[in-house]
Parts: sequence; structure tokens; C-alpha cells
Amino acid sequence: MNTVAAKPGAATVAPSVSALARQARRRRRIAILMIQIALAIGALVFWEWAAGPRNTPGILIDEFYISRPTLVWDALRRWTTEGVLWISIYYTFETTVLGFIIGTAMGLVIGFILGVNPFLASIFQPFINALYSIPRLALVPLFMLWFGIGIGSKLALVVSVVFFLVFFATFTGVKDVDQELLNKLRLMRANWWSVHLKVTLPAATTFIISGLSISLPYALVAQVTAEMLSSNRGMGYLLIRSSSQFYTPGVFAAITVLMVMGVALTWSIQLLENWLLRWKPKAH
Amino acid sequence: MASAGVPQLEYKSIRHQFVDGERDFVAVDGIELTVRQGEFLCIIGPSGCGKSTLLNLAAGLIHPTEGTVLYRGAQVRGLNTDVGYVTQRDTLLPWRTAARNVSLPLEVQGVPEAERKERVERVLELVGLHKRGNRYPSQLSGGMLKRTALAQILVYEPTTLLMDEPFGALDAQLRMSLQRELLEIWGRKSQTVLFVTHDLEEAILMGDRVVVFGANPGRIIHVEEVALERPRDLVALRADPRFTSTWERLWSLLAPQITEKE
Repeated sequence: MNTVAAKPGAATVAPSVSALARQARRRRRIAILMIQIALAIGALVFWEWAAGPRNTPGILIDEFYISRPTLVWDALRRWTTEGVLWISIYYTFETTVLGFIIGTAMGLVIGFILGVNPFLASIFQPFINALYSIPRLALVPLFMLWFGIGIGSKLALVVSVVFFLVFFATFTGVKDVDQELLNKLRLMRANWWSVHLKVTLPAATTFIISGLSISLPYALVAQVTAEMLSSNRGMGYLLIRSSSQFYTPGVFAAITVLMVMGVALTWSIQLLENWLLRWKPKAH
Repeated sequence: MASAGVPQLEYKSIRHQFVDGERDFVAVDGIELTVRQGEFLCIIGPSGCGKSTLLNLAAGLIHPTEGTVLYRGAQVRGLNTDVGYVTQRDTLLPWRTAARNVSLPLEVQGVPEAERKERVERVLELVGLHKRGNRYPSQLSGGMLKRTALAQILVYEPTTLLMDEPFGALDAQLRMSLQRELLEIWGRKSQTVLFVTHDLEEAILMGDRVVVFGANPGRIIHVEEVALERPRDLVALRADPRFTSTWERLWSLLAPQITEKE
């Protein structure tokens, strides 16, 4: 084993402490990943094994209620050949992201304006709080009346959900900015715009990012809900159609797709966060 | 310019009070002080005696309850953007690297990028940080943070430097090397420096004059002309009898102020 160390001159080369620690962390990560994969596969296998047609011997649960992984897979394949799957994903994804972007833009702008202007903020705060406490789903009938049952009412619902969360995050972040920093910039002869561009907005980024990562999953929820209430397109529509036809594999297939979409959206916002906050010291 | 006769900064019968909870709190009272052009003026006194108030008044961040502050003969009304202020707290932008923090004042003043880069590099070299320019503040040691903060102010060459205990939290060795660097830089440019410290040794070694502050309320109890020639050898001077006698005399003024407080 110690052939390397036995060689003269090579004995001084020992792996550094940090390299050893890195190796240990890597091993741990791989172990965790393996266990996770095993758990997921195990759960799927158990599901497949336990569920089956009613009154079949050895079956624990009627597949009418919980379907089976292979049936879900079939449903997905069927939707793919019918050409309905990708279109639905695209529609839901596009509207969610578009609504998210509009809501974020509005939340950023208004949050910033009220954040730097305490007088305006005190005027508008009670109104915004009141609007925020309306259950957003209660607005769906109005949105349909105003924007029709097409993409308009869906966008409106998503925007109404995202706006407030981003608004509060931005508002808090902007108000929280260190006055000493602002004064320092002013002493350097920075004008109003560069003070806020160089200090206020970057300083508020931590808050804003958390607002974004909280509101993105809600944007998807709002979009799917709107589709379930009134639509002939999107994943929410596929879900509600399958359910009304008592087609359980379809319901599970739609849920699975939505889960993957949710994970993908969360993941993308995480990437954005890592990039925007790359200056933060890494916490172990 | 005939400006040679005009003092850089004048405090005329200044009284300043804050509202501290329910009560008014007098930070400084009866301040009469003239800061000459190109002078290195040190201000020393017990903590909480209003030394920083003097700097804030010069920067125009606050305005006196009574009296006037004149900067080059004109009353300070808004912010005084002729000064560069190195505050006690670290106020670097954590999302910018050291080099980009230093370039910040040049950016907001619209200096073209090529010139910006060159000046930032020169100043970083001056404070011995040219190899650390691409690090974020969270990756810098306390001493490097202070150097960066110093470089950020030096880079745009303000005519007056306000420094509030800039080397306060540093260990003795680092402190001495930064003191030496600052004196060297100051010797080359003809900036006026107001340097607040709680270290008597530092005040005498660095300053042309030392202003001794008393507490409750903050007031000037003595102004000392330091007759040591320049350039100064900060190590050798510590043993110089002129230094030690000055130190002893000022300490006898300062000590009662400090015990009074505690």
C-alpha cells in the first residue's frame, strides 16, 4: 500500500487537508444521491406492484383510484402521439412565465417607488394591504368578465398573485438600504439615479430574489387553477378533462408533468439567484 | 490663486444637539476651530464626545443647531461634495469586488472607462492591494477592507479628507504601515486632512496639530501645534523626547476626560 511513500523524495507529497475534506464531501454527496434514486425507484416499484384492476388476487389498491406508473407512462405516450402534450406544456409554461414577468416588473417598479418615497408609501400602504388580503381566486369571475376566457384572464390571475409578493419584497429591500451607503454615494457626487442604480437596487437584490423564488411556484398554481376553471388548453385543462372522464392515469400524468414543470421553474430561479448573489460568502 | 489665505474649513461658535429619545442631547458646544489649507489635523478625545459630529458637519451630512460651518469661505448648506469621507464603519458595497468598489466614485462622476481602470490600478498599488483587486469584501481581511475604503476615497482626489478612526480596529503592525502610507500619500498631494482618532500616539505622530476634545458636552479643551519636522520617521519618533513630552502633557489633559466618563 505504501509503495509511493517508500520511494525516496515522494514521501513529502501528502494530500492536503482541504483536498481530503473535499473528497469526503464528494463521497457523501454521491451516497445521498444514490439513496435518493433508490428510494424513488422503490416507491415506483411498490406503487406498480400494489395497484391493479379491481378484485384481482394479490392487489392492495384498486388502480381506479391511484393508477399505476406504467399506465401513467402510457397516458403520457398517448398524449404525445395525439400531439396534445407539448402544446399544453408550452401553453401553460408560456402564460405562467409571461404573467410572472409582468407581475415582477410591476412589483419592482411600484415597490421601488414606494420604497424610496416614505410619504407616498404611507398613503398607499393601507390600500395595498387591503387589496393583498382579497383571496385572488375570488377575482377570477371579474377577470373573465374583463379579459375574456382566453389568455387574458389567466395572465391577470398570475399577475395578481406575483405582483404583491414581489412588491412587498422590493419595498422591504429598498427601505432596508443603509442610509450611510446612500450618503457616501451622494458625497461622491452621484446623482439621484446613480445612487439608486449603484446602491439601492443591488442592496435590495437579496430581498427581491427571495420574493421571486417564493412567487414563481405560486404563478404556476394560479395559472393551472385558471385553466381548470375555464379553458380548453394547457395542463390544467388536460387534468380536469381526464378527471371528468374518470381517466385516472391522465390525472396522474398531468400532475407528474406539473411537478416537473414546478421543479424546472424553481431550479431556474435558483440559477438566477446563484448568479446575482455570487458575491455572498458561501455558507457550508 | 489668492485662496492661500482662505482657511479650508472654519467652525464658528458651533453648538449641535440631537434628540435622544425624550431629551435633547448636546453633542458639541462652543466649537471654534479653523482648519488651514493642506493641514493634517488630528482630533482626539474620549469616545462619544462629538468628534464624529465635527466630521459630519464638515461633510454637510448634518447642520449645526447654532453657528456656521464655512468651507473655503462659503457656508456649508447642502452636502459638501468636496470632501472624501472615510467613515468608521465599513461601507464598501459587498456585491462589488475591491477594484470595482474603488472605481465606484469614478463611475458616478462619469470618468471614461480606460482612465478609470488606470487610476484604480494606480491607487490599489499605492495601498498595496493590486493583487487582491478581484476579491469581494467578504473575502478580504480587516486590514485589506480598510485599505480598500481608503483607496476608494483617494482615487477621486477630493481636496479634503475626513477620516473617522480609520485604523481603529487594526493590530499595531498593520496600523503603523497604513499610517506611514497615508502620510506618504498626503505628502505628495496637498490635501487637507481631518483625522479623528482615540489614540494619542497616533494623533501626535500624524498631525500638524492635535485638537483635544472634552466630553459632556463635546468641546475643544486644547489645540496643540506639533513641531515635529516632516517627513516623519514613525518608529524613531516614538523615542524622541519632544514626542514623549508632548504625549505626557496631552495625556494629562485627556486622562481626566476619560475617567470622568467611566
